[in-house]
Amino acid sequence: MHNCKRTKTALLEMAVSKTPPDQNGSLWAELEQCDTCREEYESVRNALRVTDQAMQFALPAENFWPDYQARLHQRLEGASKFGLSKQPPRAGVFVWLGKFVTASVRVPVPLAATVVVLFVFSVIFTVYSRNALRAEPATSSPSVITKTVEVPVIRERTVTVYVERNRRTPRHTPRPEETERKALTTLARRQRETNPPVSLVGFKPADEVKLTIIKGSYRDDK
Amino acid sequence: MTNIEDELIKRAQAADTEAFCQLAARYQRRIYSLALHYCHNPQDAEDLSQEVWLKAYQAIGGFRSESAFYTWIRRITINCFLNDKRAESSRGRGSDINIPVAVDNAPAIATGSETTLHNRILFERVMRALSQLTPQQKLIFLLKHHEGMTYEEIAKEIGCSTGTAKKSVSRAVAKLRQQLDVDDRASEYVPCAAEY
Repeated sequence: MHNCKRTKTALLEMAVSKTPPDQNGSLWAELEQCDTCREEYESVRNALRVTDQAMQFALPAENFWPDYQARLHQRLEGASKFGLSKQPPRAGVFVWLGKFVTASVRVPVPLAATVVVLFVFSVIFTVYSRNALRAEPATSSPSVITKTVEVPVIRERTVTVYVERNRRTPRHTPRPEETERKALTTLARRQRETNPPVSLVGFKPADEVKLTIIKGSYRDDK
Repeated sequence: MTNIEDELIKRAQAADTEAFCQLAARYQRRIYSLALHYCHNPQDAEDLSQEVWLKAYQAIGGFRSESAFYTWIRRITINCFLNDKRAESSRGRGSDINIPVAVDNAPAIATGSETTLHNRILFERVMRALSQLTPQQKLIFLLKHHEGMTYEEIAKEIGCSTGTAKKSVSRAVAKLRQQLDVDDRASEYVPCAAEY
């Protein structure tokens, strides 16, 4: 399907490159079909032909060149005298360095634009923050504010208790017999203290024997 | 590369000025033509083209025949043109374009005063159209139209994208069409002196 816009680009290329249209069969067929494209092509071709004609006219005549050559020769001789004739051959490293320094990398426009925008923003931010830091001391003088803040402190108290243990005397649990004997001893001592010792002086034995049987023990009395 | 050219290059590399001048004579017209169309002024064109040859003379020791000599000299030319400020200063000076002095004594082209005037007007219009372009756009157009380089080659030499190269050529052609105002009858275009 014929597309005038696309054909126009191809026509321009064909006219500028001075390619005969019959060498491009498909394009030539399109030109035959579309009057607009054919007129466009003729117009471009004529403009370029007139341009060529004008430029050809501007070129100098043949008698210009000997003088030109003489002037060039003179300049080259002058350059030779001043030691500019030969450039010292550059070492491989320098050639590589030169190529590296002058190398360029094609970057897509959106990426380049993003990088530029980021750079601009970072510069603005840096300048702004620096200005803010400079402005701060001028506006407020330094002052010392004292505040009492209660902070709960956990105090630990260490209490040391010494417990003496008599290891030499082992714990003695009295046996029941011993306890009984002790109690009897204690009772006898108390009775001795309260009642004075009985004397047998003036004792007369009775005629009848009175026997009193006491049942139980001192524990039962209590 | 022909044997003669090869021999001349070797002699030039050995600082033989005469050999280098013979080498330059082979391509000086093309380089001068490019320079003239680039900076619109014969004097500037001569200075610029001779500067190219001077730089080539200084650098010919590093020429290793990896490419054709003309390709090498054209690369120097492109760098020289892009670094030069003459074309930039002539930009936008549409009405200030100098007519080449050499035109006045060009008997082969100028067969009559009317034709000379016609060509002069055409040349001025072309130069005015090209002066509306940036130096890079102008150089891209010249490399494409006059040198027959591909867009890829141009992009590589100039250091731009092929899209930029195509746009530059398209823009140059549009400016030329606008200035020349040509149509299908352009071959019969005879400008009137009173028109200008």
